[in-house]
Amino acid sequence: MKEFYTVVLDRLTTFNGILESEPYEAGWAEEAIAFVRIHSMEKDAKVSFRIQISPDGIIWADTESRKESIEEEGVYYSKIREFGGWLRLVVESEKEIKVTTYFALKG
Amino acid sequence: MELYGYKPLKNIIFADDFDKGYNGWLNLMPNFRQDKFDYYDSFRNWTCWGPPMLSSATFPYAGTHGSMHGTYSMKVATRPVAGRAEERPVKGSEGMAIKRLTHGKGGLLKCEMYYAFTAEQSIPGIGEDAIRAVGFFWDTSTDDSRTMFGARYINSANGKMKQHWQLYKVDEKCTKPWGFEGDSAPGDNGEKVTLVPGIDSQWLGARDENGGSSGFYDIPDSTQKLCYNETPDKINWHYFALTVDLDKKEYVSLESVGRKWDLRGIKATSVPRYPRIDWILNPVLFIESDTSRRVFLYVDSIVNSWEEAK
Repeated sequence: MKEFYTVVLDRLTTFNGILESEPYEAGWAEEAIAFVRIHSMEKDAKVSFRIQISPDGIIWADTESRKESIEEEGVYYSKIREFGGWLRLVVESEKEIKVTTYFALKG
Repeated sequence: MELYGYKPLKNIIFADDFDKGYNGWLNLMPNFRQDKFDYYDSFRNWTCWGPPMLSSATFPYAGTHGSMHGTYSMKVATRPVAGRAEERPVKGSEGMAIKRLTHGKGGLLKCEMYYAFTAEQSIPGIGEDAIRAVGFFWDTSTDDSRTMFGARYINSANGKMKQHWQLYKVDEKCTKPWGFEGDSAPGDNGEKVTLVPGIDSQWLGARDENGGSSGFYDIPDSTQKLCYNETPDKINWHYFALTVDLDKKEYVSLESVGRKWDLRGIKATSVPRYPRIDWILNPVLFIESDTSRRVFLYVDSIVNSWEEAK
């Protein structure tokens, strides 16, 4: 059986601007899916998110996982493989939104 | 897992080596309300305790440190925030991991582990004083009472090194508020359930600027300078063992690296039953920051065992 773990990064969190998750170590995992559940959003909000990777959990590089122009409540995802040891999720929205975010990890 | 390096009681309850997965450890989260998918207002600051992760203990300049028995340990991390020592923890300033079992045996209960702690290597400075405390406790209950037994190494308070051991135990002379307001769980019959003195000393109780608290008892003569290496990317695995007597609801002994304290006669704080959680045995690991720098607790492996009291 493979190892599997879902970590909730930020739960029922209301923000506008940038929401950077805490670093999450997952060197054991071969694949990850970042889920962004948008519970609510202000009128005309446009949401984007992306997964970042890092050699040490301190400095971060963008990946080609970016999803953008999300204008409706619901659940969205982005996938990544071959990411080394660390993951972080960055969600952006100029207007206020309420989200719960996850990494679902498998390996 | 192999038990070399461990001295368990006769019956193993669990032996978790984090090279073999999470073993059922997850972050400690507040309860939901009954009427909607949301937290009680009283729990607003408690939804950000750092979750556990399987860590290779990898650092910017050293690379991967690995664990004592392989590559992975379970890491519990704080966020880069801290409150003053005399205040209760702020949002994210603690990391917390829990596993949930039940038991019904009574007798002696022992927790042993190999663990290390360090500060994030994100700024200059070794960060020894960035770690306020690391600890372990059990949340236990019978069908008429609830008792938390635990030990905490108070390392630093407001930047001053303390380095001694404390037990979960309420100072009954203290008249200051325990610090929890509101509901904590749905009652069996709609009654209000709240957190009373003795429950959750890791974030409740009246604290002072020296790292003391009405929820912790200072073990006499327990000053111990645990190895904290010369740079934050060198971690050393420490041995920890806590033994308690579930029948007498008292402590038996604490062992840490080269020292052992006889704790017989020191009663834990027991409170009346909480709804539905009869006969729980929940081990919990935690770490708290003293500065605005992430701090990490690494647990290579952990063993819980029990035997009948003599």
